Amino acid sequence: MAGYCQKILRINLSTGSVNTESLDLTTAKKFIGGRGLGTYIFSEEVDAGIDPFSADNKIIFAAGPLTGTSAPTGGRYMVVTKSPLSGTIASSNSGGFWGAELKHAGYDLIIVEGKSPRPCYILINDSDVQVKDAEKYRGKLVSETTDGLIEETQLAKARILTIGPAGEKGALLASIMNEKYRAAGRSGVGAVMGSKNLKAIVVRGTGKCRPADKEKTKEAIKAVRDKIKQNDVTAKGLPTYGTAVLVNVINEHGMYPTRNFQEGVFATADQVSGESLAEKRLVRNVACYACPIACGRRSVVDGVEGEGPEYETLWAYSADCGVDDLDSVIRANNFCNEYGIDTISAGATIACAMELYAKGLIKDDELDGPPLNFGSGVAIVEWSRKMGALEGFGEKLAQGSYRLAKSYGAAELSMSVKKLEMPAYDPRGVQGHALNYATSNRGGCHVRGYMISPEILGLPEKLDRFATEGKATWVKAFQDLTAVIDSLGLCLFTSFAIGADEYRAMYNAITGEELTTEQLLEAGDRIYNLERQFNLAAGISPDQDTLPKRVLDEPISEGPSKGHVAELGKLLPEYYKERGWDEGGIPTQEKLAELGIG
Amino acid sequence: MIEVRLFATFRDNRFKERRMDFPEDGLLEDLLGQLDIGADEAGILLVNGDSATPETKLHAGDVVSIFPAIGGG
Ligand code: SF4
Repeated sequence: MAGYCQKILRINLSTGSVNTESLDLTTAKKFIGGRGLGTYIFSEEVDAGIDPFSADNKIIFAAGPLTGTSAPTGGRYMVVTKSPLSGTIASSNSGGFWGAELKHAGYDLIIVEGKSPRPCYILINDSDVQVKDAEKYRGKLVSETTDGLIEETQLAKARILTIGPAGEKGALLASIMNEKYRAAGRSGVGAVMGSKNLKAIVVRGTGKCRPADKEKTKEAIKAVRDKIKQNDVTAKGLPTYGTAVLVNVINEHGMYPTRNFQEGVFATADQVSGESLAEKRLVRNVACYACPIACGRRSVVDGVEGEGPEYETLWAYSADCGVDDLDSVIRANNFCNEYGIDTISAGATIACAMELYAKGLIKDDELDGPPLNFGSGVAIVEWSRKMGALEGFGEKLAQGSYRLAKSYGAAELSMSVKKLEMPAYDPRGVQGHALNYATSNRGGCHVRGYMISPEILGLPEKLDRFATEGKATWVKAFQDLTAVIDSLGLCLFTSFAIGADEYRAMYNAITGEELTTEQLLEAGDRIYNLERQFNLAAGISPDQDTLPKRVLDEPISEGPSKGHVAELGKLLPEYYKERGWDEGGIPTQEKLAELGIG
Repeated sequence: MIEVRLFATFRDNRFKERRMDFPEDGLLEDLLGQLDIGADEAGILLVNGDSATPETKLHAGDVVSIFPAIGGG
């Protein structure tokens, strides 16, 4: 079956063995690839109760059937493992070029097992695969490691995925970075790599992913490219302002979480918006592999060029910490990228620490750095660095807001779901998105079912953001479609311009399969249920399908979302029904059998 | 008097924020016309933070936010 390389690379770091296995195509078709296939293999091979840092935990790097092809945005890969932060299934997605390079080297997936006795890296140069010593990269920043490995391997065109010092030292917020600036950010996947003493994976691939039907592929891709070109969001909004364009949109709706979700409007948001970034600090926009959208930002501050900040990062470090100094946000973002920590969780954890400090729970004598005052640019920059280096009090911050707040007897001040920090949309102002946060299989995450699209942006149609009725149907549809996109190996932003039919057309043309749109979406449903099953087996019970007390009980005090709370009690029963789960949120045997995973 | 806030590309050659005289019960559509913004160009229209349409009537003290079609995450 074209699209797939039909090869899996299995590397055991305890023994140093490297094996190539063939991909079972029936399974591939059932779970598509990327997130779906990665999760299937992971849950077949790893006990859900495993300690994420045990050598028996595995980490899978999974490309999709469209990764590395000419499909627009086909550069994506997924990191699948058990999250040390949330204890749920983790599947963290990243763009850039690394995923495509893996396919060009001839592999759909890498399964990494065991634990290396010494720091090591994996070198994949087409079919030549080696585990090599990485002692000299111990403690090195992401850019130093990336440059060093290019020089050492003499592979100027290689793509490099690496962790920073934070992942090596087990920070639960650690990310995995590729090409220096793209991140598989969430769920602490970088710490799992670190626990295996695996510093980096270098890939050079010179092959090509040939489609099953050249003509049909050309046609399907042209149709998608045309839609991307004609759509205002993908043709104008994202290239001009990047994701950061949302700062003002969300703030004007009064649901821009401010000072650890204590308020919904940040008065000086415009100073730290996409518009200000474009005006003051943007060098140029950049694109991932085969991407005609190019939403990436190349920015510069203090003479240092970096990428970002994205909308989520701008929010976490500005409104959520009460900071309106753009340069401080860019500096903090750069530290996150260099040390390898997730910018959303890092900023949100500092915001939580600021509230703990304001309430007198964190005391000055504990701090080996600047006071944790809301509004302090110096604090966000220095604490990000210390967090990344796990230095002093930074070590405590690096374990995330839930563990931090709990250690002060105030777990309710962690604005997280299943211990993963919620992103930049206050669920009180957007009910479908609230339901999505509560039911996302990896915890407080916006990219499992991006309800902001219909509820705020009016795409594909405008929904009343405060209504609860009918939202469960939308949430399920968005979650299932997203699972498909993540599994194909495409960027979620394509969904602003195209729908399920276009994804199906590309998949069929490239693989030679003849799936219907219904079958493709059913695969999304299957993947969602598979992840749910893993979480249940891991002890994440349905009573964790909830939100922080603050957003359930305390109405937003001011602004356009004033008076609203997240009405989860109304949303959840409808959602369970929509999913075919029982009243307690457990997938029924009938449902699982229908999806072929019973 | 109403307050008009423009965002993203709508700021080019216009303004960021301005207080303007506007007839009571005048239509948002007319305001867009005055600003030379086509109704189909405006992706998101808000009056006092609530979702609005070109047919929405404006009143003294209203805050009108106008965005082109945008998305992100
Ligand atoms: S839209 Fe942005 S994030 Fe997505 S593939 Fe293109 S450049 Fe990368």
